[in-house]
Amino acid sequence: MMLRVETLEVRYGRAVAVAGASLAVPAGGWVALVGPNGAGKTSLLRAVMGLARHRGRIWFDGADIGALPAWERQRRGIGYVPEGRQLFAQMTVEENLRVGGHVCPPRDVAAGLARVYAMFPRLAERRGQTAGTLSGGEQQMLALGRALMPAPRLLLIDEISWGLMPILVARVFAHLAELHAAGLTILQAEQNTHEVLRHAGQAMVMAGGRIEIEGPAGEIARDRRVVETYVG
Amino acid sequence: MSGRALRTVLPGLLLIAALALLAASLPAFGASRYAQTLVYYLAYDIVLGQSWNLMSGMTGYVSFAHGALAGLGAYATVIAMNAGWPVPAALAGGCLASVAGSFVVGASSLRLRGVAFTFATLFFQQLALLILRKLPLSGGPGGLALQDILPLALPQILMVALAALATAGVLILRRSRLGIRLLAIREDEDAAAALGIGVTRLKLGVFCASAAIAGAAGAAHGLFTASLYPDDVFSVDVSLTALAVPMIGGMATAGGPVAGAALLVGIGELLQIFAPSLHLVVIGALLLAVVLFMPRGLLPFLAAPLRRLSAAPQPAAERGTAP
Repeated sequence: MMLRVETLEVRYGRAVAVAGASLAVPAGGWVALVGPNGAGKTSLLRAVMGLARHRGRIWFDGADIGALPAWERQRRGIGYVPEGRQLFAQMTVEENLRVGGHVCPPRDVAAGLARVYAMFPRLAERRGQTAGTLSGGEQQMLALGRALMPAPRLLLIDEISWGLMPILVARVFAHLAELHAAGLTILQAEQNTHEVLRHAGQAMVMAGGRIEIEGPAGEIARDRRVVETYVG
Repeated sequence: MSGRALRTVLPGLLLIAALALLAASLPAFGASRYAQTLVYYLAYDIVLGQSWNLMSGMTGYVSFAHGALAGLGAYATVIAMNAGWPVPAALAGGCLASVAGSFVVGASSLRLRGVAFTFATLFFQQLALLILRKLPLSGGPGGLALQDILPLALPQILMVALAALATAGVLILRRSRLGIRLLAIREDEDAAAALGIGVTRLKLGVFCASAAIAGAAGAAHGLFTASLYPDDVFSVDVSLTALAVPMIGGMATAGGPVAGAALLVGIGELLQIFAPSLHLVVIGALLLAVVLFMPRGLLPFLAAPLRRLSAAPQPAAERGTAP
C-alpha cells in the first residue's frame, strides 16, 4: 500500500470533521472519495497532507508520516491540489509553478517547469501573465501543474471540477487519466460523482466523518442506494 | 542556487561590487568631506531599507521597529566597545542584540496573521525607548559616548560594505527558492501553507535575519556618530526611513531600496538648503504619491514599459516554435 490511514480523527474545537476513518490506497491506484458536503473529505485530505491537526496514524510508503511537517510529506512525494485552487493571483504563472516546486533542488525546478509546460502548452504561452488573469480552466490547469512540480507519486485532489463547465471537467479528467496511466497514484475528493466514478478504480463513500461504504468504483456507481442515500 | 540562476544575477552582483568599491575609495580620490558624508548616509539608508525590504517587502508584514532594532545594535556595540571589546566582537554583539529583540517581538506576534505583528513592532519601538532612557548601563536620557576615537573611514567603509552585501543578498534571495516561498506568503498565506510552506518558522527566521542587518547598520552608525541619545536613536524617524526607502524605490526588489535611498538623500539635501522644516512633510507627500500612483514603487514603475517592450515579441516567437 502506498498510503495507509488508520482511525484518523480531525477536530476543529468541539466539531468533529473526521471521526475515525481508515483507508488504503495501493500504488498505482485511483481512489475516489465521494459524499455530501461536510462529510469530512477535505479534512481527511488536509490531514494526510499534514495541514490539519489529527489523531490516528498515517503511513506513506511504509513509513509513519503522521508527525512530519507538510513540506516533508511533500518532499517524500505527496502532492496536493487544494479546493478552490488557491492560486497566487498577483504572481505570474511561472512564479506560481516555482512556489509549487519550492521543496525541489533548483535542477528539479527546471525539469518540473519543462514537464508541466509540455503537458499544458497553454501555461507555457502564458508563463509571464499573472494567475488572476487566466480563465477558469487555465487556472485549474495551473493548480494541477503547480502540484505536479515536485513530481509527486501520490496526488491528493480536492474538488478539481469546482467551477468548471462540463467540457473543461472532461478535459481535466483526461489529464488526470493521462497522469494515472503514467504511474501517478490518485486520491480524489469530488462532488462530481458521476465523472469521478467513471475514472477511479476504487471508491469510498464518506458521510458524517466516517467512510460508510467502499468498493470498486463501478459497483458503487451502479448502487442506486448509495447514490440516493449519501450522494444525492 | 543553480548555475543558470547564478548567471542571471552575476551582472547585478558585479555592478554592486563596482559601485561599492567606487564609494569606498572616495577619500583616495580626494572627495570632499561633504561628499563622503553624503555617500555614508546613502549607504546607511540602503542598509536600513534592505533590512526592512527583507522582512516587510518580501513577506508583506509591515514593521515599524526597524529603527529600534538598529538602535539596539548601536547601543550594544558602543557599550561593548567601552567595555574594551575589540571592534569585530562589539559589532557582532550589536547584531546579536538586535536579533534577540526581533526574536522576542516575532515569536510573540508572527504566529498571528495580519496586523498583530505591526502593532507588536510599534509597541517594541516605544518600549525600547522607555527602557534605554531608564537603564544606567545606557547612560539614560543624557546619552552615551564612545570612549575610543576611531578613524571615520572605518564606519564609512563598513557601511558601504554592508549596503553592498545587503543588496547582493536581496538580489540572490529574489532568485532563490527561499525568496519564492516568502513572496508566496505575502500573496496568500493560507495557500502558501497548503503547499507545505512552514509559514510561521519562515517569517520568524526572516525577521531575525532582517534584524541582524538592521543591527549591523545601527552598530556601524554608532561608531560613526560616536554618541547616542535615546530620543534620537529610538525616534520613529529611523523606522520610517527604513520603511520609506523600499516603499518609494520598489519593494521586494534589490534595486528598489537603492533608488529610494538615493531619492530620499537627494531630496533631504535639497530641503536642507531650501526648506529645512518641511523635511517630514515632503517625505510624507512623496510616500503618499508613490502609494497612489505607483504602488509597486519607482523602479518597477519605470521598468514596466521596458519589460512590456521586451516581452511583447516573445509569445509570438514561442507560438512559432510550437508543434
